[in-house]
Amino acid sequence: MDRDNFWKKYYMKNTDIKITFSVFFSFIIVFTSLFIFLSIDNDSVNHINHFDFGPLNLDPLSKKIFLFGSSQIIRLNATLINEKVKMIDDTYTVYNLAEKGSNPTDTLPFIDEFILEKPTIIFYGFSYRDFNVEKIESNILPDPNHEFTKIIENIDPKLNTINPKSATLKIIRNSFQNEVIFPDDTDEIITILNDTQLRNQVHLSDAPKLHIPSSDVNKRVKDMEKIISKVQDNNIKLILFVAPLNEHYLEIIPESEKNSFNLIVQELSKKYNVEIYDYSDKYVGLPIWADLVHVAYNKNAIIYSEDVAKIIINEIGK
Amino acid sequence: MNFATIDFVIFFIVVLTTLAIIKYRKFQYLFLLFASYFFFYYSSNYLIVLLIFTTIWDYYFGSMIYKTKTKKAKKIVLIISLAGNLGLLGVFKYADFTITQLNFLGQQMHMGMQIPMLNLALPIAISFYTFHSITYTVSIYRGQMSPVKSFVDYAIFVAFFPQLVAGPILRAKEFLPQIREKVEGLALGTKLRPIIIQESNLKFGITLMAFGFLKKMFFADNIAPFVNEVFANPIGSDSFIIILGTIAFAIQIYGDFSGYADIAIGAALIMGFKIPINFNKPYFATSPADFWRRWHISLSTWLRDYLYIPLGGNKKSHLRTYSNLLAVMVLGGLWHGAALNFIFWGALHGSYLVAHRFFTHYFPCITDSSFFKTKMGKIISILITQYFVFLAWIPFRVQNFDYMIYSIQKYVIIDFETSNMLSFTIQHKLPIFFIIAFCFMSFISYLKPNLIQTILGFRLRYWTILITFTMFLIVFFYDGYPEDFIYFKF
Repeated sequence: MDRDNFWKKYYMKNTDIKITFSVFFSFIIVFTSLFIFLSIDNDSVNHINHFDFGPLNLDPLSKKIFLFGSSQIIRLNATLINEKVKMIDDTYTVYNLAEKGSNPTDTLPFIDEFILEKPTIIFYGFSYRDFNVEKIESNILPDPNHEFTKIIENIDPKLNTINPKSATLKIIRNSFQNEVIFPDDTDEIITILNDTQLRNQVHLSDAPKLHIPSSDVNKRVKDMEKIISKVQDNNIKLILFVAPLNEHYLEIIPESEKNSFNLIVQELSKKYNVEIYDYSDKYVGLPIWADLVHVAYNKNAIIYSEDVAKIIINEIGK
Repeated sequence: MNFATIDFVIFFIVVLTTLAIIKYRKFQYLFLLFASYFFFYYSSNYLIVLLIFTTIWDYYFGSMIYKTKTKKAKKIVLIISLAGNLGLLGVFKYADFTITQLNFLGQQMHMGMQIPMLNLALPIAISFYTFHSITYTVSIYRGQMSPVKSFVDYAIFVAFFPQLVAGPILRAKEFLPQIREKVEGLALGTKLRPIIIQESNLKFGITLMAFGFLKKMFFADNIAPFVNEVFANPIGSDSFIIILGTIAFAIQIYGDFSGYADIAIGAALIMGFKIPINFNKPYFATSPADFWRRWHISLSTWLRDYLYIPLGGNKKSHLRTYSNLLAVMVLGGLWHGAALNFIFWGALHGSYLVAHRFFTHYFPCITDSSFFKTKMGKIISILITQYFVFLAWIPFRVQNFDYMIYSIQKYVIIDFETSNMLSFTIQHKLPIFFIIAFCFMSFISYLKPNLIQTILGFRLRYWTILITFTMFLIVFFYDGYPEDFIYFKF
């Protein structure tokens, strides 16, 4: 190779390295920004809220009642429940720690931290979605895709739930603060829909696609069992509650999945000797719904929080 | 493996690094084949057997066609080879569809018997790799190339991972010579070309991939939920909503599919392989024929060369030309999926092509009018063409027959209902923003046809800033749930 060609070749390689370095630099900038951004905006990463549990300033002297579950439990008015419970025994304080989109598998990694706070009662609300498992076709050969997901989960379970888009949109919304263009999100939670509006939501519902395998092959049920075991091993009173659903939603759940869910509920009750309050069809026909799966956070839907308060009071009295 | 996942990014980095480290050319290609099979196996699992079967089948029949002496015997061997390919495609993709139609017919004729469904898993990309493979045997039959001597070469052509799942559909005679250094006449060279990652290819490839990801993850994936909402149950929706939903789907499918093609072309280019473009600003087409020269080019040219021309093309009577066009487009529709809505989509496009040809032939005074050569005339041609192209997207997207008819009615007969327009727009401001942003970007790329070349001419620091900005848009608008590419199921 003559001298010119050598340098030409060297130059090419050098440029390749520069380009590769530039792309690597871009990756570093973008992903570092992403993780800084997400750590500032905790809501965008599911479950990080749970870690903010410490600064909630829990009253160390009171007997703590924790409400767990997903968005259906968020709609409970913890202040009202707290007042009702305090009327019976003012040493109790109720904390609503439900998390949007949560399920037993998401909650399990953090349950020990909650137990360390020594609650007296844990009220766990769940529903069909909590035991819903995406249909996975069984493969004859090993599944590298599944293995890769497991590796990511082992590194950090939260990595699979990152949602930068919601954080970005939140920043945009907060920057504009224009009520017309960006109406307050809480409207969706507060407003009670009429029956026609609820019917119009049926076609968008996930209910027909629910897939609830039996407890022996359902990871989420197994994780729920682990949560129950941990709670009971620490002598914490556990209340299991099946959250209410609108009749239009219940109608479109496949019968096979309903049976599977009911069987799981019965098995949990029997195996762990715990009473399960099944309110799935308790409010059929009542005008209290914000959508097909959520009771509105509205004074006209207060029956929901009142009923949960009664359940807790009943359990305290036992 | 879905391109729009971190799995692919890791996979691609590992493949490139390994290819750069491997010194021996033979091992480079063996590794590339292994990587391509792993890529396919990652999401298809045991169905990789079908890919390997197709590869062995056509490799063997390619040689047989070449060795066979007489034209008649060559034809028989080709027919057997095609029967194997199309038989596999037919069984796995169309068997249940055919059984459903037969059972329906049986019901109408009051026949008690029902044929049981096969319920076979639909293998990902079977339509693509079957068509790839067919180009090899047909090219040998037509004397356009000689068979490859190495099975690995052929297997790489069929399974080359960037284009394996959703195209572009490769031609054997275009791809196979790229594996060997020298090409003499019909014979392929003997020495393997080394896989070298070169500066110009690297920069070009990364730029294309970045824009591909932008189209797919920033535009298509952010518009997809809006399209799903509009067409989940369109009954009761105003024309405004249906038209907006149709435009949104047109952008979604373009962003999704051309995004995939850009990533595929870019990834192949980084490894030194050139695969043909699949899209050329299709929504700026001025006629149905022009649209098919710009949309899914590898499929439309495949259908032209392997179906339309063998059927007689436009060399016979006008009536025959029209029927050929219609038949080819209906089969093109059916290629997308075993469902009546795809046939309807194909038939619509077939009828557009027939109508356009009819007008061109019988009313040249209209089509050749100087008005259509002016700027305004061109804009009007684009708008008319796209009105019909977008209309055809409705049956492509909406499978439920009642919903499809309702949507088409609302698209064609506009109700001018405006009472919900403002509230609907505010409620869906984000997808509407993406639609407007996409239209704006498309317009810029239309005005500047050499946009990519311009970007490649940037100094490295400015190019890096652009790539970083593109990555920001992609990552910060990613919702954690990557949508599958629409064409994966074809």
